[in-house]
Amino acid sequence: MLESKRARFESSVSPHLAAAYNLARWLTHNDHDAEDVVQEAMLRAFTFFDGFRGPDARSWVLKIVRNTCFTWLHVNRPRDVIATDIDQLSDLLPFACSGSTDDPETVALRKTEAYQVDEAIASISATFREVIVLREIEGLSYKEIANVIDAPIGTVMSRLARARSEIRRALARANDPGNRRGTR
Amino acid sequence: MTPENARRLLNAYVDGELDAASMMELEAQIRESPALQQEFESLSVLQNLVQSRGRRFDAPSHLASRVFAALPEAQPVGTSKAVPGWWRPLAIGTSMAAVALLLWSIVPTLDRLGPGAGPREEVLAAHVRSLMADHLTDLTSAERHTVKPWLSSRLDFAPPVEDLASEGFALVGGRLDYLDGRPVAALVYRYRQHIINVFVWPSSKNQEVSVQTWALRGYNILRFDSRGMSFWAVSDLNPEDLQKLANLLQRAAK
Repeated sequence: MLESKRARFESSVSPHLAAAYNLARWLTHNDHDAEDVVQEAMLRAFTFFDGFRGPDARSWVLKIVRNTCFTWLHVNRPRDVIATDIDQLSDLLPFACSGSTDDPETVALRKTEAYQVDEAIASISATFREVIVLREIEGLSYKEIANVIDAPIGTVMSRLARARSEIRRALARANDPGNRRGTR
Repeated sequence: MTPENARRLLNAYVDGELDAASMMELEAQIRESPALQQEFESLSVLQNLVQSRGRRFDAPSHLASRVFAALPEAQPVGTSKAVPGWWRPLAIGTSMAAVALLLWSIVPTLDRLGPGAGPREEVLAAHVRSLMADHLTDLTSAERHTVKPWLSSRLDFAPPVEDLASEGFALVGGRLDYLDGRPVAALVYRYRQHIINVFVWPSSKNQEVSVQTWALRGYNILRFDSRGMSFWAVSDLNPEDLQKLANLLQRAAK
């Protein structure tokens, strides 16, 4: 029973830890907090595991991780949750923050396409960032995303549309030499 | 179609989430509108870029062991250790309410629960304890001819011990326990991954009592009296399979 609950929990959850961590990492902006949040989420998940019925363990795990992340964000990064204007977020950007050195390696890194994409995703608010991560990086369907964020599919559609517009704007901005946020 | 709605539909379109009818309608509109066409292409490029370049952060290799090591140790379901801090005031309130309810309901109505409903809690506690304390069996043997004499020589009765492995209920062993104010036999069976404790002791009234079942804190409990013995089975196994075990034990006892 208890041992077998643990065993069942581990086998249900293990396949989705990578996705859980990736989502938490994108939402918290750093490794250390992502780990802590995943751990806390899994403790919650274990507590509620008896109530978990259903085939879709991934959505169930991601939902708990996502909710734990937002609780964490409300305490630690309240502006990341509510802010929708990219300009308000510049002080939260992990890439912008960490890029204070101007060594050639960092400068080269900044120029890469992948870096720009990551920076653009990181720049939008958490509400929109999570749907992009779930859709484009984790490959969830609209229905699965709706389940994870506990919102109607119409909301998923609107948020994805909005998220993509903002990412596109951020990318355009990064490529505009007159307005390079990362260079100091 | 409003621009806002067109944008939503285009996104669903590049995500392959539009139904056939909306898709055909949208494709017709894209053909007619250069602006929509351009927006569609730009969205496709962006999607491709984000999917191919967006980073998937690798979880550190120690994450799984860290997460699973932090899970609460084996403990009875319903204790508060696994409850997050913000739940605790509520949990205390709930347990106080539960105690009040228990005092209010159990004490005056014990008889109403039916014959022998009393030791349910005791039976469940004994089951949980047996799994917690790494003391599932005193004698580990799948051989009923070993388990039965071992128990009989230590008790003042001879508990029926059945080999039900062919039905999926493997005998793990036997244990002595103390329930309902007397030493009892605990027979441990395993069904798939589930451990089942079957407690057996002589019934106080020598009469047949048909199967009664309860669900208590996530466990299923079942009792019946047959051939002068009370049988109590408890497990996290589902009620149907537990009932199956009861049927087999009843049949064997006859």
